[in-house]
Amino acid sequence: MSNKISRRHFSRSLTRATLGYGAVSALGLSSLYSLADSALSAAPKNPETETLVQYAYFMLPVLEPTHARYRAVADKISAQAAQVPAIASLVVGGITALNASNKGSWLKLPARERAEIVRGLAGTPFFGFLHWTTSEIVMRDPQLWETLGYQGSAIEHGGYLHRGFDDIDWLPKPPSES
Amino acid sequence: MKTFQHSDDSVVVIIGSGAGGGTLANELSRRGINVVCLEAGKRLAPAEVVNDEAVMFDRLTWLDKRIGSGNAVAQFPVWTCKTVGGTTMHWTASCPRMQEHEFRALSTYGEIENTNLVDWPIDLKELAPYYDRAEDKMGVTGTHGIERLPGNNNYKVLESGARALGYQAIDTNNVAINSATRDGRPPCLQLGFCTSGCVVHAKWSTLYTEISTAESTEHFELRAESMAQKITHTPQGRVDGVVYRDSAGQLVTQKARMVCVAGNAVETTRLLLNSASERFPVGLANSSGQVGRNYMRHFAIPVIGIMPGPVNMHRGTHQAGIVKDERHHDPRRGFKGGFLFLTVPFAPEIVAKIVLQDLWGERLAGIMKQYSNMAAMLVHGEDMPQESNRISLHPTQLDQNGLPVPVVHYEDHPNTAAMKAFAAERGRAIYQALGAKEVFAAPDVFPATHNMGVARMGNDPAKSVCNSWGQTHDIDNLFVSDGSLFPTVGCENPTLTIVALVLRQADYIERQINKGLL
Repeated sequence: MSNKISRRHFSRSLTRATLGYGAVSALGLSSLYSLADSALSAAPKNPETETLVQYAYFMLPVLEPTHARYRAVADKISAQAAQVPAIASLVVGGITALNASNKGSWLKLPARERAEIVRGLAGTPFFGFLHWTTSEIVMRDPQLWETLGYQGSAIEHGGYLHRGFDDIDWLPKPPSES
Repeated sequence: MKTFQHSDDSVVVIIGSGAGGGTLANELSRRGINVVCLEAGKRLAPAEVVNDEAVMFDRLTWLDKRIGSGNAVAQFPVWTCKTVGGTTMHWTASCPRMQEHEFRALSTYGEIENTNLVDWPIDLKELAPYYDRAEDKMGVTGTHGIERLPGNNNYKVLESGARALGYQAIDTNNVAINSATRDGRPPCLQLGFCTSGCVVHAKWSTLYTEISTAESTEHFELRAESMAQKITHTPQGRVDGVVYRDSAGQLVTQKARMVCVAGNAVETTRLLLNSASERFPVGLANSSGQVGRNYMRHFAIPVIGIMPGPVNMHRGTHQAGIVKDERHHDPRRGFKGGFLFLTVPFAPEIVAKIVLQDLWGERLAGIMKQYSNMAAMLVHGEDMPQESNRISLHPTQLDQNGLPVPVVHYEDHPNTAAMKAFAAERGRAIYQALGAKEVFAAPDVFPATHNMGVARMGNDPAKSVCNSWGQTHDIDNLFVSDGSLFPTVGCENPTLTIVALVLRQADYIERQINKGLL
């Protein structure tokens, strides 16, 4: 049931290229458009899904490693890569960089070494793109909201006017009251 | 509902239905002046406005291609709306007035290198009666005897921290959000989704105030999903119609007695420039060469504090909380002009992907798990007009409507950079004063939602685009009716000032029509 919902959710997300634009731009990738417009001849490839799943978990480990949301990150990125050559190139380049250490495949390295390699990629467009997409998909999980204390849609509960919008109790008392 | 023929040249065509266009439409139609309003976006039904930021981002945001350069985000350089109601659907309804000295920026600050600083052609005294009318119309709390909203948790943290630093000008702000039933709209329920469209209509938006009031007259027609392409003119150089792509995708021309452009800075610029003709080779109303130039925004620095106890910042009105102690001009701080602290809540997604974009792994997860204890604010301040900060048309790229893609070039002036550094530090200090475990002040990464300049008012036609009524110097029956008019921007949220300017413009248009001049 929840799988169906999330799948529908993501296919809708995929059709909105916009957050993708915002995503890439906010990372400082200088121009996705000019990349997309230029003759990047590399045919879109399916990036290595498993690496992306693990990388997404590595990026934001707030759910169980096997949680469907991490796979959803990989699926979304693969789908985008299949449509936009610039994203394909970004992702293929990123995965290549992950696997470039002389110790072999990133997936098979111990966690500490994987973290070192990820740290080395911080600030790159690949890192930023994965960060954005992972944050977006993982942070939209309603069950995670419950854990974090974010309550989501409020209208069906009448808002917070009578549900604790001003219930803070730990602030120092103003001078007049103390 | 009233409809007008395409050939009817008695109508005023207004382009845009937001704070400027929607308000002007209502003001003219209630005076018996016929108005056709062209709005590029769809008209959302009440049920289409929901408490879901991601869904509403898609429904409200202007997502057609734009290109940013300089400090402007490359693929999303500005944040504007494409929907009936325009940015009044997305706005936080924060309504501070501009300060007296901000209308005299050049006189107050003196010449600043690499700026196009000027004084406004009108002063606060001239605009004050229109501020009064705007506040009454919009139901702004703290004015006209309208009670302020109660403070929510996020406000209480801001207030307490600010007091600890010695700040005093702190309150729940002047917001166009009902604290009690007014104008047929209910009071705020503290839903916490102000920027996603107000589900209960407690927040003023032209969609269900100005537009629906105008529709109750026999003098107004709204055409949604109608994208203006070009303003046409007579051989004598008066505008006489607007070519637009209608909701069926057809290019049609609506004749007009006059045209008022209120498309928000980017679209206002694009339409004026794209209407270039043999007679006006560099665009309409552009003999000064200033159309598209002096583009200004407000930097917006998000500051998040991990507080010692629960805050639940998501509960409640977004910007019903303001600290005004730094909004004055005091060059001893190392910059000209001032800035504001305003409460704002962020959903977990925005915290992770934007405010904490440099963190990852266990560190990011650890911070996110303290979401309940987060308090947040936005700090924004005055920007300087720079001729080189500019909206222009891409020489070759066209969008899906066949229109040239807008290019937004923006760079921080050194004054802005100095102010940002100071403002972020003061924002941090507010939360630190309450024992915040950690404070994050993100860089100014949001595309601005405050877009101003590009068709500045002034008395000199060689240096400005419009006179103080928003009438273009070059073409008597062509007006600009949005934030594009601002010669300088102060540090306050611009919507109240846009509405005040448009109310003054409506009075002027009526007088000119009665004199037979328009």
